[in-house]
Amino acid sequence: MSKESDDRREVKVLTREKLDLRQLVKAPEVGPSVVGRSIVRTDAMLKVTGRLDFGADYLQDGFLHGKILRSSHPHALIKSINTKKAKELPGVAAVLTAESVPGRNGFGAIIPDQPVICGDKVRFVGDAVALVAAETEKIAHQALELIEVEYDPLPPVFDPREALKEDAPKIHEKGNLLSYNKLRKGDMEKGFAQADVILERTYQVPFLDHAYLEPDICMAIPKADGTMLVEGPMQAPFTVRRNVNAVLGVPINKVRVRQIPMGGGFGGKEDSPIDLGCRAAVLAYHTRRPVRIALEREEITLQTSKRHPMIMQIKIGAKKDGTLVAFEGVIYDEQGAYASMGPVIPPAGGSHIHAMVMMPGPYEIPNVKVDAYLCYTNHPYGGAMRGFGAPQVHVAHEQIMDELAEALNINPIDIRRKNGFREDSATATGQVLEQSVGLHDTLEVCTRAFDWDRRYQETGYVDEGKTKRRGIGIGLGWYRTSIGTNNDACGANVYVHEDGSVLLYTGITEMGQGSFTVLPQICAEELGVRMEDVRLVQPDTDVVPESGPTVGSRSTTLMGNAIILAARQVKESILEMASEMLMVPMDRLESRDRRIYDRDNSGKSLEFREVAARCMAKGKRLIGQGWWAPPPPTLDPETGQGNPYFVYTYSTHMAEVVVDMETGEVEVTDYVAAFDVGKAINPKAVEGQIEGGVAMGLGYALMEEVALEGGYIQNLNLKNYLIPTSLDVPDIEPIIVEVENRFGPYGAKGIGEMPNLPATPAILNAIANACGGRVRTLPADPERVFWAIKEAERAVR
Amino acid sequence: MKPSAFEYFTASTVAEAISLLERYEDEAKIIAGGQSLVPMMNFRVAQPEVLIDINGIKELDYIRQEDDEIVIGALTRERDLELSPLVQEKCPILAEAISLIGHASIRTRGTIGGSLVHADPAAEIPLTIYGLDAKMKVVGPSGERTLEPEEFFLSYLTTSLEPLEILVEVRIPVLPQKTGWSFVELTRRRGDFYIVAVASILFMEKGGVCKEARICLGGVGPTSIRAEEAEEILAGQVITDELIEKAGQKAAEAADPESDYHASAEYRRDMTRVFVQRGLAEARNRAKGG
Amino acid sequence: MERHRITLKINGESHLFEVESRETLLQVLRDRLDLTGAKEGCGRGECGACTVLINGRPINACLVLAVAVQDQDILTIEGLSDGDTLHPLQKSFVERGAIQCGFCTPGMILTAKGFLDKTPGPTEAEVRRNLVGNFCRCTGYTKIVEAILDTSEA
Repeated sequence: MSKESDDRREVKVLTREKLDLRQLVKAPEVGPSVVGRSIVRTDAMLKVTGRLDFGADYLQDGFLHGKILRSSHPHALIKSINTKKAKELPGVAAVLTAESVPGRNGFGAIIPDQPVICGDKVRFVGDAVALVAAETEKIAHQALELIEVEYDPLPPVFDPREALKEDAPKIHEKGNLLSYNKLRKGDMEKGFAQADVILERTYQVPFLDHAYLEPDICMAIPKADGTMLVEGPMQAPFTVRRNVNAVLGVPINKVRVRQIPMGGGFGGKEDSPIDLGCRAAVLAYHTRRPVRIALEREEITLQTSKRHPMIMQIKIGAKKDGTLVAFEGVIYDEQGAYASMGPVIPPAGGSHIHAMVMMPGPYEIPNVKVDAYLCYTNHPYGGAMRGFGAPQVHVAHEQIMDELAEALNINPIDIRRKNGFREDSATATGQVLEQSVGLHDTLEVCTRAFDWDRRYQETGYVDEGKTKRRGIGIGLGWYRTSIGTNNDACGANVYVHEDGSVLLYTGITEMGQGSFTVLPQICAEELGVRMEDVRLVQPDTDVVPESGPTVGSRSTTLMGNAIILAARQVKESILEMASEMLMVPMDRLESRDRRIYDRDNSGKSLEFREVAARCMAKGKRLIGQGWWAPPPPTLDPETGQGNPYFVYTYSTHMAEVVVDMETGEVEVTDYVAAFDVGKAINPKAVEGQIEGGVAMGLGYALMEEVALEGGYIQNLNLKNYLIPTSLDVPDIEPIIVEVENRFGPYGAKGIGEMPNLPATPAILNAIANACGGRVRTLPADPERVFWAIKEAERAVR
Repeated sequence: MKPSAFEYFTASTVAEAISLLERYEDEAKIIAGGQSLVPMMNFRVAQPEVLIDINGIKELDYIRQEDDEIVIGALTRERDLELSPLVQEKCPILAEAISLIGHASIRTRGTIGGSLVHADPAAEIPLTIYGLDAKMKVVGPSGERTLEPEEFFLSYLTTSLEPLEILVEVRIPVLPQKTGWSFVELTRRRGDFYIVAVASILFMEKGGVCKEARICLGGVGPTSIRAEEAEEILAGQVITDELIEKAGQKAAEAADPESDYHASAEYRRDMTRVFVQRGLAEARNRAKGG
Repeated sequence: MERHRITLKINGESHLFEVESRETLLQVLRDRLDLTGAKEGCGRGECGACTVLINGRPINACLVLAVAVQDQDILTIEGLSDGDTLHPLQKSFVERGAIQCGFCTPGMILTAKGFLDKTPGPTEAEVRRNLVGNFCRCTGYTKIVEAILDTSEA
């Protein structure tokens, strides 16, 4: 056995001991458990009364207003910039160009390849060529209009396949291929030779906008001691800090980043706060005044990251009985103008490699080959959006599974039953899934709840006029918890006070998903206090331990473990002290519902707070700090073999649609989604993630698309960029399945991103089932469905 | 973004509004519900220097029947029309069309006059008006005049309203009992702006014969279009499935759509056919009392 | 610059302001009164995050000029609860878990109130139709619809 896997086993064993909560669960129930209950969100009262202040609600007194002059061209050299008139406008405090950036003129989540202010060239229409700060927003707008920029347009590239050609215009010095990755397992020739059926298909997905409702905003406030304070809604305060300190050319401890309430993120508020943070900080640096940059809806669409478009080619082979024997995939992954989170962070970080690993789906296939190309173009840049490369490939693998089932005349659920991951299955990367594989549990429970077998027989016309047909569709999904890098640790601090109240410090952010409720739940459970005893401190890089970003569906699991480890340090003090006070051996003591009990004599107990007060008086530890990192990921760069992510969440979705055969209109009429989440720390919050994720996946399937024409976005606002409304989303029935994750807090694993992945193909498969036409280029808007129906009709004739 | 600055006046009578218009001429714009104008001002697509608010002209907010006409003040809110029993009974196609505009909060504030004057070719009210022998009463310094839809709508976002005129009233003939009607539309997202819309009206005479048909097409040209050749196919006939089929095809020929990222011209044209056919079938059922 | 002295009746209280003609009701609520429960998500009446009730009817506050709504009854989310006693809709949103990021919540609740006041005991389809102008990107609407139906039954 290699050293690496030895290391891994060591971590696993350690973790198991540290985190196995089963013993506690078996203990006598002396009070209500905090975990596993649908406790009301801690911020619900503030939100429902309108009293929660988002960034735009903060007082603006004394702030300068920052604005960004963006490029007029998708690809051009900057010949000259004249800012004289803008600078002379009364009320303008600063007009900055590239040379004004004090430190590194570049930012990015992984590679700092995006200029804070472009100096020599622009690479997409969202690029900044100048920054303005002025006393009012209006003056800032006027100043932008007074800046004169001369461009020398360059030929642009808008297609990743074009970008790869030798004579393609170079967008960045190093060329247009940002990353090429490959996965090799088994013997493709032998594999396809065993196949009775081989299908080849191409699927294509467009850029998507996150369309979070809260517009981006960022405030940079220079402090008297030379520290730069940056505040805003953001998912990754530590990444913002790392960029701002480099751009200002100051050490990390001279930048302080605070997360404030966030009105939705979905991955989008990972990149844009870096962008706005750096730009606001540079303006604040020069003006020595607080600067706020508040983007308008149209600016958000223009400037911020998107979900990557992909062209996905698949060749798949199966035996007559549906057994998969070979899978060959090619991904042309369009990065757009800047690297963002596309490139690989070894061994398995970055959206591109994640897409490659996920592409064959949650299926056991002995022979797999995937080639994945990540290319720069002159379009907006792709970043993280709820699923990080996985929603795209789910559109491909779940559709081809249905196409294959059809070719083999097998029920779509049976082909999945046959090939879907079970415990001890090996993935395409050769990872053996040793535990917490609930895929089949979700498949069976969903099949029953949806009544698949009956409905499968009952598709067809629903109206007398024979214009509308009903169809049903299935989508399986899998998704990692964690990010696949060697830098995935979470730290938490737990402070217990003499009155038994608790402060919890973590760097995990709240964007609506519920972490500020779920994390205190874990803390309260572990300490044995009540939910209301724990107050979570708003993330602040000066105060909380480094926690990494709030991404990768990692918060509950990774931070949950860190919290448990931190709480245990304090609990140890508490139990030791209680042991002295009660004169009962420590291993008989139990902390629950604000009391410390003798397990063998539950009449013998102390209040948690009196023990805490005694600890305080005696100088016994009441502050805990816990760190937790997942078992180290592995992935061989040559073969794509290894264990890239330590645990996965699994799900099955089933959708019913009605398709208008004359117009192509689609209505989703019923929906069931079952998830193996390991353990639902807060079941209602899990349901909320499922329902919201399904709605987003529905948007991807039916209507969402950033429409681009010559590098310019055609649908900048929410009138034209369509997201699902209350009329588009059906009543969704969420089902929670718990197959314990032994690396997770109380058995939990991630749920945040997952729910939108299988939703898209489930709906697309239902459309195909209803109308016979298959839409392989998204979105399946009425017109695309219409043409798919026409094509299917021609094929029949 | 905030709108650029402007002077603001309220008018409480039509005469006041016109005298304000006379004073400021081209610089002035009338604001009623503001549901189209305010977003255009917020994004500085429209930058009027003077705004004349006519919300205070109470005399322009009414729905009533005068002889065989429904008479509607220009300032009447869309939501009030949608919910008006009189409109629902005497001109149900208008109530139906209005119920499809944007969403309730837009209709609560938006006015019929505002929608007509804005002349958006993808709006429900102008399209419906085309088929209804409606008359638009406009008032200016030199008196009033009455315009039919063909005279009133010139092209995309353009009417024949003179700079000093305002629209004060819309008169719509009551639809005779047993008139068949329908308003159907295709949207990319349910309840949203339409790609193609069709307003159909079938005036009937005894024996189930269609005396006259009106077919108005929206979304397939710079203004709403009357599919006259298709209408002729139906006039004087008992409407059969076959005639509906033919009329749909004819109407599609009359359509003059353009491609954009929401839909191609080809698709819009074919959907014109489908929706004319569906609309006519629905209208025929209503005429039969079905 | 054109300025006007206006009176607005907000949450039962009259307020006298001097405003610029171009100020929208949303700006006046947020910037002058610090009533920031109404949010700006798009600035063009698409998302519904700025919904307030004017004379009991839901209106996008970003699409009306403050000068145009003088002397009308304006209700914002801040005026809905009675101190710490929540309005039944607010209570139901909390209990049902109909809140995630919370940015759409005030507008969503006011739209629901305007609707329920006029249409008691609605069907699910009616509730959904009336929410079409209020976007939510987080919840998928399921729990919001449930919360509103719960309230109407209570």
